[in-house]
Amino acid sequence: MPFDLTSYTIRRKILTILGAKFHVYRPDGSVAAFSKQKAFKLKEDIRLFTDETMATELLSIQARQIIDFAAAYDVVDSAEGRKLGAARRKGWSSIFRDSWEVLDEDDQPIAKLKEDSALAAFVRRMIGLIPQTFHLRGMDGKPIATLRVRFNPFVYKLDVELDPDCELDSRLVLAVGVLLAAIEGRQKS
Amino acid sequence: MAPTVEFHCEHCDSLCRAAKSMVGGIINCKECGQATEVPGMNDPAWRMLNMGAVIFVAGITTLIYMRAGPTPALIVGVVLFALLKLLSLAL
Repeated sequence: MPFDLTSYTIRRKILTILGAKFHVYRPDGSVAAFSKQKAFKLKEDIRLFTDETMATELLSIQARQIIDFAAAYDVVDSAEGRKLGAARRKGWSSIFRDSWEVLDEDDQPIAKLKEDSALAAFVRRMIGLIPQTFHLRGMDGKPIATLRVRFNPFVYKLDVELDPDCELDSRLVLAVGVLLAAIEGRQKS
Repeated sequence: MAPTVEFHCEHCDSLCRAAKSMVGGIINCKECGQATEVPGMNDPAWRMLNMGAVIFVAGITTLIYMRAGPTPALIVGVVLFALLKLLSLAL
């Protein structure tokens, strides 16, 4: 099981012109997953593989719509061939403060992801380069994970810390992290 | 009740139903449990692209009809339509 740890780092190269590359690292620095995002794709389609050979696919994250303003992204476990759930970006609220919803396989909300505070979000939108922090909580407010962008103007790095008692599938949390790196990271780059 | 769409599972071919808002997305088939795509495009951008493509083909064909006559216009129209159809399938 490649995603059984509680801590990961997602790295995205900002200066990649034709598409983007993502690496998901374990705390010991080894690669847990790799993804190469194709450029000029109308619909976002992110595939996570075990390594750079891209021989074994782990997860597939596909947008339902072309416009990603408030689009939902379905997350499928490629080995099992089953949809695990989805992540939906809340378009209007994200203008002021990035917010996402995590949905179960029947499209029912099971968790919410928000930027740490409205004030910090406002300051970030006024002055760039201030790294973001996101909190993923269950619908009952129980913490699930914290996602922190590191301060680095050249390489986008996102630390994902799952709560030890996290009841949400860690693959869904990782998928949300990759989406943040792909969508939010691209908007800020 | 929310409007639904019916389609066949791409793995077991059984009849599936999904909310119309799921068009273009993925659901798990109730029969075989495998992830299957809800076919179609329910996307404002896609509809605009389609409309734009139709206007583009009609405009070019009319222009060629006026300049060079019906046969070249027909050929260009058919070729453009086929190219756009291929492009939409590739996307």
